[in-house]
Amino acid sequence: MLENHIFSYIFKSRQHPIKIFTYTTSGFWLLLIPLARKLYRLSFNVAEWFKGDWLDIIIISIIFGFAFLRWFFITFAIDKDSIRTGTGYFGLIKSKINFNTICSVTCSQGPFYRFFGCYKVCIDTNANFIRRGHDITLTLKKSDFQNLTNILKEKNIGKVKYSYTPKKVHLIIFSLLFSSTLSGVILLSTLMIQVSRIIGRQLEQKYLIIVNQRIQNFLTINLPPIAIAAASIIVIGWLYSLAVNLLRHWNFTTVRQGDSIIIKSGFITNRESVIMRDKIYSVDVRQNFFMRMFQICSVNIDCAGYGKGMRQIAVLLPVTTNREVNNSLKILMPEHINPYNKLKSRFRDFAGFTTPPFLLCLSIPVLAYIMWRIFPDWLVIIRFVAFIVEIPAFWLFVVKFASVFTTGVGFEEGYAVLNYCKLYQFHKVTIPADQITKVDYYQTILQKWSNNCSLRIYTYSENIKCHKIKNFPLKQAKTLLEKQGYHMEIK
Amino acid sequence: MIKNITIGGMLSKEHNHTMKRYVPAKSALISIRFIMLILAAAITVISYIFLNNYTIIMWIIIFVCWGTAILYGFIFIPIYFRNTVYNISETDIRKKTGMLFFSKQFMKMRSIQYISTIITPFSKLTGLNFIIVNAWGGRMVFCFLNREETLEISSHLDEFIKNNV
Repeated sequence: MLENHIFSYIFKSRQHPIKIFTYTTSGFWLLLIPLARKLYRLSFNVAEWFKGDWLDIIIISIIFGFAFLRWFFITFAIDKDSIRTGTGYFGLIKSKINFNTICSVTCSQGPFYRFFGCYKVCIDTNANFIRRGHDITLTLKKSDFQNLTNILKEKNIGKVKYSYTPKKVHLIIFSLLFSSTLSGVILLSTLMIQVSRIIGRQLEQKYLIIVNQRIQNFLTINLPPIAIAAASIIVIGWLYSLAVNLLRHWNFTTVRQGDSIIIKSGFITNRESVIMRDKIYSVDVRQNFFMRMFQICSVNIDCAGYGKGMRQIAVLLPVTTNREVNNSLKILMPEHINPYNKLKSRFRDFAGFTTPPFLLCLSIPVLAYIMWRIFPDWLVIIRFVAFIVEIPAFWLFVVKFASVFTTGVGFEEGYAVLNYCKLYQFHKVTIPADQITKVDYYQTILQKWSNNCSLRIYTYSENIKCHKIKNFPLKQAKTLLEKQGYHMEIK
Repeated sequence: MIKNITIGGMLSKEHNHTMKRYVPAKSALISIRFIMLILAAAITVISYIFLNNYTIIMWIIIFVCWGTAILYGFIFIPIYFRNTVYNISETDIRKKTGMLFFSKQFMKMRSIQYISTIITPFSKLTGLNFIIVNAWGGRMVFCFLNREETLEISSHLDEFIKNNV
């Protein structure tokens, strides 16, 4: 009986053996290089090699042994209606996920995995305990991957396919608009620090001198070298982020077939996400100020697991025009409706939108003046930094002023539409009304005078989200909410 | 220990339903005490070998170790076992637990997404079996159940998830 059990355990389905190497420590390969070099020097005399480096060999063997055991104890089985996994120490945690509870399955294959013929598969349900990770993450062999995808796509075979492929120009615009400077800067700074650690500060100084000389050739004004270096890091960081975004979303295609939406993208790393349509919580049409001016928008969706990874965006339509967005959504999500704002903010309440950014704009020169009084020698750099920081603050003022004309809330046929502006971005979130878990309104002192209020609408998805919608007449807001069954009066 | 009880006497007839009551296995309590005893003994031996030159530190470690083992093994964990109850009905699952502070948890059956079970080797004797119920908004953990009860609960919940489309 026990023998049967052991033998059946040995022959269980496991991940691709390449996973063993990813379970080792990140510096594992660096340990191998000197050992291999020594073996080569000893003309492959293994006995001498063992004698000299026995401790290193034992440590490497232990690291590799642990990685192997970790791989060995992670097992899985794909059934007709569920996937079962054994994870944790000695594979003791047995989980079973039924396919009817799955929200999304994301498969990716980078060049390394492509070379070895394996796929990374992430499976997600609405269970939200693991905030950053997925419910199941496996590296599958091609045969297991095909088996899983065949089962997932089986019920949709023969059904009509509706596909949407954005133009390449649209993808470039999307990447330009949604590139995050911050992530690029973090990566670049980390790279610089690591390089400095290895080969000293000479490279960093050389870099600063070269960048300084090149830029001074173009510019007539005198800028402090540190400012030029910071600006160049920001630009390079942004360019890096742009390149990553572009490569990630190249060849983007969205297909609706039966009850699922299949999203494919990627140039170097190919990605394919299968999303269950009935498990999409909300549709978010996003625009920044320029996109609004040029009447284009990007459509994101909120579904457990989709766009969850680092630097990933849960995009359904990368860039489309305002005219086409409803038609495209009708094709991909026929049940989606487009409610109108029943409650809008009024122009005369524009001060409620613009006061915070206005105060921010004012505070920057004041702070710069104080800093100059404390550090009079730093005038050039303080002036430069204040000028740089003033630009986004002024831009925020412009965006918030524009949001006076777009902010609103509406309810229609069991759906709610929430139009609001969060920092620099305009959102139009359409969500089933029963997904709203809590509604509250609050008044600032200014709003108390003008008898206005702001709404906070909490929606439940994989995590709880709060949508803040500002400046409505209190009476009208109460009436609208009461019509929807949210009675605010406390007796 | 399984016991059928009826709840909802004060509610309407629709809410009346039977629910099963589960409590942690007594064998698990003995196993935990045994593990704690071995750990305490091991720490004592290690301290005696390596801290023989620092007698004060050695005795502090030994006293803290045995004090914790006795406090938890004979006071806190028995209280935890006595106060932990799991209820499973057709519509919801409930958990009452605590050592010093007591909590009651409630989860709707329809919010369950998937379950994970941990059945340790020789768990028929040790009672070290666990069920993790993953649901919208969080998870509920059933600890130290009999192996039979673990299998029974997991198959019941699994059947429910399968039919809950």
